[in-house]
Amino acid sequence: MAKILLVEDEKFIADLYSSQLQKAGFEIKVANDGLTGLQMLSTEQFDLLLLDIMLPGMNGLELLRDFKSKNPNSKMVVLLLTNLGQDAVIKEGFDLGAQGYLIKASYTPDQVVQEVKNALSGKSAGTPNPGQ
Amino acid sequence: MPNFLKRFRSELPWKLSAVVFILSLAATLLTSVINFNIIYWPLLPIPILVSLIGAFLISIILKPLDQLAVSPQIQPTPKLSADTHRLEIIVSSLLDGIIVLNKQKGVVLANKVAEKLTGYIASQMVGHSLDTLIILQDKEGNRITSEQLCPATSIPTSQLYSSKDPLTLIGNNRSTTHVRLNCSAINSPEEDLGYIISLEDASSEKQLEAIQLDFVSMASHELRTPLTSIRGYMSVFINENKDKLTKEQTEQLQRIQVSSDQLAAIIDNLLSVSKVERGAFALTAQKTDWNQLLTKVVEDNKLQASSKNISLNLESAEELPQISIDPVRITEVLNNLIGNAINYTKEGGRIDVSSKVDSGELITSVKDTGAGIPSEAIPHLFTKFFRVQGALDSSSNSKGTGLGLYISKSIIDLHKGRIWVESEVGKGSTFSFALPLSWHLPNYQPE
Repeated sequence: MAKILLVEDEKFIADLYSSQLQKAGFEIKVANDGLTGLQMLSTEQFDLLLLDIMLPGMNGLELLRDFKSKNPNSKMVVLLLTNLGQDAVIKEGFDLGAQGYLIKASYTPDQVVQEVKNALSGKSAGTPNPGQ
Repeated sequence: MPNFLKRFRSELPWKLSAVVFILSLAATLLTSVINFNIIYWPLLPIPILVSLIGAFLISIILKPLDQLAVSPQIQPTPKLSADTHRLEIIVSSLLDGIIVLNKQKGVVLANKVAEKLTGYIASQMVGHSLDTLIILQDKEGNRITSEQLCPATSIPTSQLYSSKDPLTLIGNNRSTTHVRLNCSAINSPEEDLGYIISLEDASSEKQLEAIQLDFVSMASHELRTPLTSIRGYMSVFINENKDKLTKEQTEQLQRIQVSSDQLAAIIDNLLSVSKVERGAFALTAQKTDWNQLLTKVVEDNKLQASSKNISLNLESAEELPQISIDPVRITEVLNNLIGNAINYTKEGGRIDVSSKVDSGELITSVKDTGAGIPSEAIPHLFTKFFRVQGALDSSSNSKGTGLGLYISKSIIDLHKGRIWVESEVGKGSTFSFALPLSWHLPNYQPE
């Protein structure tokens, strides 16, 4: 059973995705801010990281940068979950090692679950890198 | 002490002693010859002794000259020390950090702001090579040495380096700050005056750069957040309860879904227009299966069409090719054209989507049985904020911000394609766009 870490500060959205992913059979843990997310990443192994970018304190990109600098060989799949439309920010996420991104407002929870499954089975997930 | 005075001071006694020695030797020899008719050599110690005593006496006489040498020969005039003082005040009052390097890149001077930015006090820096004191890194983390900043040059007062982006400066005790930096060569033969580095504190700029968001992006993000919850929970609720709901309840919920879908599309449009305006609309080219893309888009719009009892059909044509396009943006165009068709077509109407290859182009059409567009409105259709009014007021739902066609045209133009409309009032409209099959996007840099 794949283990997923969701880092999302909006409670409604965090509850929505974690409940749907649990129903789909994943083990899911939630962090509501960047620092907590980073701490959890350092103490546990996850197969996939669903990472919001706009987070209080440490933002998603800073978290990813920090994690990757300490774990350059990590095989954990990273999907950016964001409502930001700015390509430069998303491109930076890809440069830091994300495999895909999803604009939250454009995906139903079912579709998010499907993208997670795609990503874990090595298929391309979400919207491609806008910077390529 | 002036050089000539130094030389004079050190060489004079010996010159005088030599003169005294020669004179006394000559006198002794002469006396010996005159009195004794021979050179009486045992008399030689006498001139030696005399010249030694003479040298000793001369040193004592010249001692006052030393005092003169120690005290400054050239007294600074009161005006010159006032000027120096003023310059010192000016340099220390600059808002920029100033570091002066000698020709070997050693620090000669550093002002207060430079002290603050580097974490050293000036006296800790003076006499040391700049590279041993601080580390400068560019955006990518590559080190920039003082040699790269200030390459040896014979061109005086030339600007040698100017940072485009803020650099990271790691100073004393690994303190880190961000600076903009310029280096120029000083016009002087003096060893001490090699280069001048000016540093500007860029830390607030860096913070803004961390997540560079313009107002529209922030507003879009804020609007999308509650919308995510609305669409998300609505979707889950309907999935989990569709067997328990009456037909009427299902329809009501679907209308909420459709409305929130439209809201999402409007926000997408606002964001896109903002990018178009800023010239920051980035495209990502991908080999795309056109059939697959078209099928998905039509599927996604079925709910909205059926809520108005409009039949939305895809005429699957002959084998359609793979095409190099930005699939996300072209999907946006299709959603916009189909969405417009739904908006401007009455209940029970019909929308047909079709695609074909013709003369090296992939031509896609969205044909509706809507109200049609008056010919005078057609030239303005693809401009910003234009919505057809007049005869259409009664039938149109006045939805949309009028941005959709403007954005669609921008996207098609970027793909080097064409977009146009054929319409007749009362019969309907056909919006078409052509994408060149041979086009390959030169990869853009996003904003």
